[in-house]
Amino acid sequence: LSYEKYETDVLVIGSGGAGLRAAAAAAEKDVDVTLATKGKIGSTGSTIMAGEDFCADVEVDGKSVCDLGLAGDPDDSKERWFHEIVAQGFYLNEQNLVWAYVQNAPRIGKELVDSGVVEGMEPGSTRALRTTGRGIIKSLRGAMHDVKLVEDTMIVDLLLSNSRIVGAVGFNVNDGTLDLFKAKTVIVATGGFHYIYTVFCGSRACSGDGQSMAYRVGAKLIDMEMITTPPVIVYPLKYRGNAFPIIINAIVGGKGQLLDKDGTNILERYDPKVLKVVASTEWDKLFLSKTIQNVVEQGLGGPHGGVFFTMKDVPSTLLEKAEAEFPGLRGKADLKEMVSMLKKGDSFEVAPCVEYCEGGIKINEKCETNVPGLFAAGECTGGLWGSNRVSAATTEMLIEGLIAGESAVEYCKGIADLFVPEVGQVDRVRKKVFRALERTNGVSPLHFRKRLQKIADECLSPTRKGPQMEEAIRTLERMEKEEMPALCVSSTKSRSYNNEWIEAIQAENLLCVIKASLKSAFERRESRGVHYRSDCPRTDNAGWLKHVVIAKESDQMKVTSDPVTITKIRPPGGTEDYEKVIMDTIKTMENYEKFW
Amino acid sequence: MRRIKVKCFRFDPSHEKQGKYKVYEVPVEPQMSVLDVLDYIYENVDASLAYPRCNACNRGLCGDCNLKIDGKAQLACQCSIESDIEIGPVSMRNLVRDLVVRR
Repeated sequence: LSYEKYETDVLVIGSGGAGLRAAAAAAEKDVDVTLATKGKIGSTGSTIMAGEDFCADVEVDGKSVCDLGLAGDPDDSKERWFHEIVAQGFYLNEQNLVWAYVQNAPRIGKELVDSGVVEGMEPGSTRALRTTGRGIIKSLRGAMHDVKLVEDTMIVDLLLSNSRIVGAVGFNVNDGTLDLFKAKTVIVATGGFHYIYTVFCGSRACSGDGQSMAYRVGAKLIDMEMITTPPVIVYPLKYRGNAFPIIINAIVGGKGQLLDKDGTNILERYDPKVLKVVASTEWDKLFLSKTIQNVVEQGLGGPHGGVFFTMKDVPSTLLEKAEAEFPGLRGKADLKEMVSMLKKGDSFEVAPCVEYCEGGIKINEKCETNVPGLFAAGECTGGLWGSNRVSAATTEMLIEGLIAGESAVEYCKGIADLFVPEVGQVDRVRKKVFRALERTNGVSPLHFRKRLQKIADECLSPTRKGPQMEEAIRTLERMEKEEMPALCVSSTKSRSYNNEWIEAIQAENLLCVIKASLKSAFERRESRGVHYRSDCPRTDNAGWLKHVVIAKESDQMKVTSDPVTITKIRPPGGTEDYEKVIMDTIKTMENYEKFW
Repeated sequence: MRRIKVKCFRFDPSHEKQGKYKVYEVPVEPQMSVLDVLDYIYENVDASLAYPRCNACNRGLCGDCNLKIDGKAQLACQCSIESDIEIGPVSMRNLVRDLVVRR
């Protein structure tokens, strides 16, 4: 069997904002850069969906916003922003990464302003520059002329020689052929793992490929239990996965309502001031999900497992004002439809669905992983946000992309030649790819995936339960041992865009990230940030201010821990009731009200 | 639940001389998109159907699901389905298989 062969200095995997920024940074330094993406450049992954295409923002501290000539806040500072991110990430953040984030944000902001894709500030914010995911992609497209682009190619595995990265094997989804990439260094920028759930706010493309392939070559995964799940539309089907309700609710100052099946407002018991702060920050994501799950588990949810978001009691002038302030709402058909549904007093059924994965591949401030030659950037990494992301992930992907690109170039300088992968590696990947296609009977990859998703839906929900997770881990281990090797593509043996075959290849990635996430969530016997366990309902700073680490050891998934990198802020000690920690933290935010 | 007929273009250029339409019966509910219908067919009726599935954003943003629906090129995820429809690839040039086109 022959392979299409590529030789390059830097191989970037993924074509969202992180991948493109990494490729641009490396290409600027006159090295050979190749970028592989499983879909189309710029349109694959979750970047284009940021802010549902009408209010993606890139954040920069308010003082630096002033320096950009925009309406910022001269009294804001990088230190203050840093403090907020760490305190609201409940001190699990890698502080060196947070510092790199706030320090580099102005540079990223300036690039976007200079490329003309920033349309001023988001109303009411002194940190958020208004742009769109597509705008960000557009600003980076120009830098791609020096980059070799390989589209429709899903990287299946990374290749090693003497324990360092020397390339990767890709699978062309259009014709089922394999590509062999020889590279001095690889940057993984493949996004989150939204696709482990049935409904998700993100792209189907985000199936944890990068985290999983990095894990297989020995990279550490950290904080995999931390998954942000805001209320997202589950019905009507056409808008499934859309985060529009929480965004529009933020714009109208939290005046929308969440109703149970009997029409009772499920947020009635909360202080309206708290609700207002929550609605206008990233906090709604953490705060609302647990309440919704509770209502649904009491049997008070709707037919699709959610509650009902409505604005029937909100004066329509507020929605008209929103349309005036966010012209994007009038630009796109589905947004227009959803606004008009709300104006008519209709509701959307919403339920907690994944929007962002805080955990991922462990990196240092140079975006290096623990595997020599392997770098990572964007949502596929872990550590920056600790246990709760409260600032822009768009800023993150661009900063980490930039740093990873520059670090990879530095690394390349020390590598004289392309190495040859260890004997047998490429052949093993080929066998793995073709196994499910060549089998004559076995387990359906599609049903296998749906069962994995059901496990994630049930056990990696906002409220986790120890015994349930323990049982799910056993189920996963059995599926991995008995069913995964028996996956069989049976509907057609065609090698051209065979969805079942693609699913069979992705299956091990999905299983890997679900298992890593569940094992981490089970290991963390406390509640912190987006990770809440009904059987361990306290935030335990004495015992759990550490990362849960997942790594491969003699072919087993091992769970260990790493200390948190602390550079500036000393975390508090002691243990405290989770709800109290959350409410106390929100109350400190009210002091910052002028920002919102 | 209402059922509709979905006429879907099928063609594997690697070993067939020409394509044909295959008809699927699908239950539909209000506010369902053409992409939802294709997902339904793939998951419940015929997994051999090649349609732009694995990277689709479902927001009308990525452009992957651009198909010829009742003779008109449009994004499957943004197109509501109400009655019987015919779905084909957006172009016969660069056809990979069934509804998937190399673009």
